[in-house]
Amino acid sequence: MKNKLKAILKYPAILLFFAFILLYSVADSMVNDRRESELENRKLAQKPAMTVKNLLAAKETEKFSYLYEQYINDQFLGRDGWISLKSRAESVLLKTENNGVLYGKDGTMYQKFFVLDTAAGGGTQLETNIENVRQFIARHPGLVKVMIVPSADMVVTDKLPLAAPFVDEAPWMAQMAQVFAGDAVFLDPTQTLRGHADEYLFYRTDHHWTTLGAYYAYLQYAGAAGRDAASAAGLVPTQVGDFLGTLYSKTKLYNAQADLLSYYPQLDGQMTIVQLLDKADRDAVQQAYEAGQMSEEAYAQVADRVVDLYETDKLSTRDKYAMFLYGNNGFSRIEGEGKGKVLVIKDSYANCFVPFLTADYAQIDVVDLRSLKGTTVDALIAENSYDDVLVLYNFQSFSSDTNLVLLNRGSGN
Amino acid sequence: MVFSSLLFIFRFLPIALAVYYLAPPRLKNLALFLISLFFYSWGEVRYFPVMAACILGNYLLALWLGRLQDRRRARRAVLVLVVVFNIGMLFFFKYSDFFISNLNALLGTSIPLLRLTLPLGISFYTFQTMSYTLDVYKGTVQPERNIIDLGAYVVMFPQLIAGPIVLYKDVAAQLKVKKGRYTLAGINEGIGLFILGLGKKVLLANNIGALWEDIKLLGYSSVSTPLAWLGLVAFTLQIYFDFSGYSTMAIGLGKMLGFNFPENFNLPYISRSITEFWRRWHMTLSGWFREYVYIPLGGNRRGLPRQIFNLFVVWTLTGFWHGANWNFLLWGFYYFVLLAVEKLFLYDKLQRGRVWPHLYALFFIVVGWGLFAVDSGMGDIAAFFSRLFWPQGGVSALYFARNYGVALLVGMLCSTPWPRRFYAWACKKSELLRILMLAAVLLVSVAYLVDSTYNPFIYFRF
Repeated sequence: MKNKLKAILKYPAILLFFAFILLYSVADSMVNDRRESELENRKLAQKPAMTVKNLLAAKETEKFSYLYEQYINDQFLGRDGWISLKSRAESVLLKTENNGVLYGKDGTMYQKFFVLDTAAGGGTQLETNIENVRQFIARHPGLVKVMIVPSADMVVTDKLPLAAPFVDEAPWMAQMAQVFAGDAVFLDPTQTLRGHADEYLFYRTDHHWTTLGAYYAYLQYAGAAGRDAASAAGLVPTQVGDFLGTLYSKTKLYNAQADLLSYYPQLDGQMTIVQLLDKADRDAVQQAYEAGQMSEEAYAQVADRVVDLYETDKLSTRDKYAMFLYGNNGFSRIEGEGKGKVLVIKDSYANCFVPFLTADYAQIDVVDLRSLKGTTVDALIAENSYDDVLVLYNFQSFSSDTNLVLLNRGSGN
Repeated sequence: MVFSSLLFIFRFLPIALAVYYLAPPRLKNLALFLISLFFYSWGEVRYFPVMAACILGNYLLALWLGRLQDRRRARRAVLVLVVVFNIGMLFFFKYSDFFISNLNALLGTSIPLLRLTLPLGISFYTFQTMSYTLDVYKGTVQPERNIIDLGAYVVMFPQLIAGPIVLYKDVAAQLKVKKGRYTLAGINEGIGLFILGLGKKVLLANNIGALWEDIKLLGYSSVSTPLAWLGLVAFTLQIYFDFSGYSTMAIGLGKMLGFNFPENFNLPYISRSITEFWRRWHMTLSGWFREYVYIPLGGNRRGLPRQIFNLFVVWTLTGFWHGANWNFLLWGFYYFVLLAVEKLFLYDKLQRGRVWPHLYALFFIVVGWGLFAVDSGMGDIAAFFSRLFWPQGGVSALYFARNYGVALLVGMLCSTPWPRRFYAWACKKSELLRILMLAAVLLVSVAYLVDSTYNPFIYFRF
């Protein structure tokens, strides 16, 4: 035994390697699992339970082996440190791209967007969505304004990586202007934003536009809608630093430059996040709750929530953009200080845009098609007699969103 | 399970090695057999019976061959059975749908496709196992009576799913050594090889390979001519580091277990002819075809026309082995033509040149990978090749050259003999230097595995 030990000592590589994989494995399996990663801004995989179903599953992503491997990867001891090591190695290789994000100049990051998504039935999803919107506006002629916001790579062009082959959004904007012209007003804020290109219009580490970018687009919208757009003039926004957004969460670049997020606490209103839109459902829940058949927690899950426009708790996390409108809820109703009613059908780009509307409208209804349940857009329009309807999307999400077909749900198409 | 995964390195490997090293000498093969079966069944339990049938079938057939001794005709009949059994299994899982869909296209029928999932590594282990039974037929190997020993050879986890194609006779003697099978020096060397292979796969192949994925995403018909070439060069490097990295890891793991697997790659891109390339690329596969197809067909001993025909057969099969698709058949035929031309007159001339044979060989190797990489139909091959050879605009290569430039240069450098010489020098010079190098490669590789979005194994499809 002693001889054996002596012999092994002659090969330090063996000792080191086995000690490393053995001790690290033991330590890795003993450390408690994390629920989510703040660094990556996502939930981490948890230990899967072994079942007959997932052992015999045919689909790769449903197999126990797959789930277990995801779990091992996500809960790997020192995950954040390893990620930072990779990020440094990438910069040694002078890479300008990591995990679908391009590195531009001065710490500016861009979402990789080289090709348009293909639709399930062939063609591009963008063409499908243009047709979805066309059918929608044809049913409501004169009521709708469509604003498609260009991506950062179309506006902040001086910081782009060399010769990056981004999708050219301009011809598509021109096409949409033509297709939507008859029944709606199409608003393309590209020129407006380019006019302020040296200002802080898009975040460096997040795929959204800044509140300032949204403000310039709002001025354009207000002009088209005949509103006085006096809301933010003269107001001073509150600024919060240390914002590392979604693009950062993908790249986890070790030397990323944090962003500054601003918002107007003065532009606020009472917002009701409506969980159940179907009247019969609401009545049933209310009855059950009043009869004591429903727990406080269960009721809170489905009852309306009344909140402010800003979830300031989110300002202490990395992903600060989530503070606007409490994220993406299916249907919310906001009380404003202006006149008339507006319906906004939107993606997350609208979350920092909507506060500007509070000065101009008395009621702002906000629909996110991705989680709208219990009603249809047409039904909402019929019930509420809106003065304006605004479809507001970023070009990239408009070209990949598969929910726009819901615009026409219940319309007989 | 893939070698280049956290699950393998930080769960499977420590446990498997502990079980193997701690097992008493006469139970080593049983231990190896069981941990390998677990390794094989991990990703897909449902193909366990296929593996079991493969082991049992060949075990029984070989025993039968052994008992038939001198009865030539009976032995021939069993030989036919051996080939039908093994090739039949491979054919059923891998090629049924290819033939059905071509039959449908040809006759206008609509026979439904079977849509079977390819059992992991079936192309490799059917060839390995068949080599054993064929050698028993030839009389060069004695039939194995212990099914555990034979099973341990077939499912031995390092070489099971992507080669090298280890012949039974390569490891048979070692399987019978119960005590002192592995040495510390061997384990030490094996660790080094495993880490270097991991680095080849994770740091080089994955880093470079993302470029070819970009080309596929952009569409073959929208890239400019320079970008098409850049992408093809990237694929050339990716497939080499991917596959040879896997083989190196396998050889290293083999050494840790006390087995010497044959080399599978020997710097293929420094070849001066296509003939030489195939002596350096996937050597165990070309060796297999040479031993079990080319030579039984008569090799070069029956005159030139027959030799050319034999080459044709071997290369059609080699192409088809790589995948049930027309482009792989085309790729095999392409190499048949090149090798035949070299055999007929070019090889002697190549031997006399200095620089141009390198350029010639590299050009045809890279173009060959074009046929290999575009596996989505003849239309796409035509589109991509027209981009390669008919200069035209499209998505510029500039961005991609900038992004992948350093990785590509490192990849090219690592295709030359220099890194290997450097490692050999470091091993001699100081153990500390070697350990530091290996530690760096291991740690950075683990970092890439933790944050990986792209970690495929090209040869897993085969």
